[in-house]
Amino acid sequence: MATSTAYPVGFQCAGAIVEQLRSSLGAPCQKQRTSPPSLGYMCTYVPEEIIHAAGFAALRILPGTAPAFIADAWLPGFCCAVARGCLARSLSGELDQLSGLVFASTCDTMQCLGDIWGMARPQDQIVDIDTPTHLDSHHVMSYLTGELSRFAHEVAAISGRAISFQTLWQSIRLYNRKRQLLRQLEDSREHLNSTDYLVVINAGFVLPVEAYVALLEQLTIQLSEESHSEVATGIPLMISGALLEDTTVHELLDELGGRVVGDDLCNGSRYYDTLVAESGDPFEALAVRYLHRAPCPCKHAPAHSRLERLRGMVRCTEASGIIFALHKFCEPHAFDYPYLAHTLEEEGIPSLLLEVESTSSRGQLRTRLQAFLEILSL
Amino acid sequence: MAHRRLQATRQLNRLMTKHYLAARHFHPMRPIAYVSSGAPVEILRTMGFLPVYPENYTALCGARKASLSLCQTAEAQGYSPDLCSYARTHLGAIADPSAAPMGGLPRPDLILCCNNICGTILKWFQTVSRLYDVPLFVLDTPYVKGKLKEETINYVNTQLEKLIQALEKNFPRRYREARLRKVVALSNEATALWRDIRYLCTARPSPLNAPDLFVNMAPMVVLRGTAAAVRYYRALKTEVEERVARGIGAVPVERYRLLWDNIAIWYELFRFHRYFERYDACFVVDTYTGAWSGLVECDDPIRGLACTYTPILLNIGFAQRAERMIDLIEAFQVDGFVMHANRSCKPYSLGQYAIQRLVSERTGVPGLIVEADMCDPRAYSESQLKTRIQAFMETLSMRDSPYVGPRHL
Repeated sequence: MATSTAYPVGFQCAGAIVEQLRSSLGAPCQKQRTSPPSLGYMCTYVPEEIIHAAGFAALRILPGTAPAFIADAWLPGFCCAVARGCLARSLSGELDQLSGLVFASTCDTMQCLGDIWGMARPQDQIVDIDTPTHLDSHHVMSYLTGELSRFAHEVAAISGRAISFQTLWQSIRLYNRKRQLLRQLEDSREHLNSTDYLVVINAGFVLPVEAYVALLEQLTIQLSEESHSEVATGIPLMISGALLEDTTVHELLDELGGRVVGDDLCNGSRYYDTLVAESGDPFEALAVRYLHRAPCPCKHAPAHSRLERLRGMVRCTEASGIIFALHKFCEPHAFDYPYLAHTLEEEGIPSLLLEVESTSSRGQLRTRLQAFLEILSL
Repeated sequence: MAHRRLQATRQLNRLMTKHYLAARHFHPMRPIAYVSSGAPVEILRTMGFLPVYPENYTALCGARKASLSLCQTAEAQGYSPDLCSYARTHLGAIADPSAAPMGGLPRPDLILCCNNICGTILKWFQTVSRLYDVPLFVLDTPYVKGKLKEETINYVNTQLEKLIQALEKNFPRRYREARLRKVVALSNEATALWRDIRYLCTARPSPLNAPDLFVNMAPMVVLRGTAAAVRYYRALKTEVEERVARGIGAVPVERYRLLWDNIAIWYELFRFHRYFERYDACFVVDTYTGAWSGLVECDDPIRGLACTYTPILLNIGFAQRAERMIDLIEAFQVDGFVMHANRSCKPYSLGQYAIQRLVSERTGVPGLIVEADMCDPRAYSESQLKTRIQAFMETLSMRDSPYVGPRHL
């Protein structure tokens, strides 16, 4: 597994590494970098390993700072800020560098966005992958395996570089290493404040995996060695939701005396909780991970499985409460919320619902978080 | 002028009342199955389950103007006001049946959900299955962009086989292929009749307007696969044919022929469309009631169901959806189209701007997008809509002048 020499990493303290990662987030789609070519994707059900094995950098498109109204000509008002923000970035030309985009049919919005994108940006090459809604049974496994291998052929056709089992295994190992390091980082979460932790995670979706793994290796070592690094204090909290790329909630928690000790986010534990088995058929191995990872609520999992996972995480992290940070118009999460919140409440785990939007007012969020923290500290 | 009522509608009311009563009272021994509108109900009918459609019921709640308070009941329980209003109406009716029309739906014994219409239905039915603690069977139909792939058909086909096995295991019901063939044949017959009826509206003046189509689609959804549906559509077809023969139009004067896209605005069904009547406009065709138009191949009925139910209107790529709309515009000689940007239905609504452009560019026919909601009247702003409709109708009236290009709204 070669670490790219294009992104040399000097010896740095943890703080400097975090800063370096933070700056990578600000850069609009690696405009300054010429290689390697990138394929963009939005949903974490898209197999980065296959994209990487075809010689691309897999770049997760996060809604950025491009004014969202640019997308108004293509999306009605009742579409989530994630889809709107990502499309706006593309329409404003920020993603022109990409060699193509991959869409997974996970939620209704993502499914539609793929088609809308194709019409709004006819110059973009679009590849679709179907990830089944079922997560059990043998025939789902064989369907998904077939779909992954079909996807590999399509991506390879774009890059002009055939995907051998060998290269695919290399990519799988590399991404496993990334997820492993993230899990390690989670274990030393107390050495980072909540905002920095989220920044580190988010940077992993934007940086080429080789450079990111190198930085993470250093960061995890530094964090364990810097004994003086202050242990984050504050009221321990869990946070649950879809994608929470915006750091506002985390910043406010750091400021107000809260501390995120665990998460159930699509850019968080749901991304790194399961590794790909490094044996057998690589497509099957990838499929098994998809079916076994902590599911997105778009998938059909038993009703209690999300509840049990949240409950388990709260016990394990000794969180005092949960923040549900949900995107407005995100149905899969909004349907699950009342059941999760009420059941946990009955079990003595209080929660707060925050509806996050690109336009969420910081002041309003602050007031609500402050009130929640006060209740918890009583 | 009042809406021209069809004679058949009286029969329809009896039919629907009987359907809902049957579920509650007539067949105490037959297990009740909640079914999504796009699920292959033929399998349930074959095995003697009694299908009940929450989507049809909640549309009915909307038409009876009962949906708002039910939505609010659901919202008080923590369900977001941005969720599908069918789902909220249903969840409200479960929470407070006394406030719901007909006392709510009877308790289900099982739920069958097919995600060919949306992902929302999965979350909605998951919630209902949890509330009633009854088994939920999910049929996963992959999105079809371009050609329907062999792998997709096999995936759905296998699920259907497993579904039958699971139903036989969980309920004292037998599956017989010969019976399925009969049910599918009835289903096909009603589908063909309904298609014929819709295509009778290619006549000038059109014998039916959108509200007629929306009201009369109910048996197509709820009684698909029964002899009752076939009988109903035969009677309706005769009546509509008679209108055509006698040159009777659905609206007093038909100057503009329009196409409707999306689910109806149930709580304003007649008033909203009557507003168009003032401009001598008639909705001669719509995309929604045509969603139940696929015939099932009978040679291998299970595979036939997989092939028919997977590529339905809301489960195909936008290019194909636009193509279908263009075909309708040509076949029905449509002058303009109105798209309901329905806050409750993302798969139907999110792509309308893109589809509008494509269709207008290809056909030269202008389109209007109006934002509202199928069951939540709070999203319906009458004066705003009227202004937009007025402007649109003025555009249409100036259509003798050369068309300058698509309107980007």
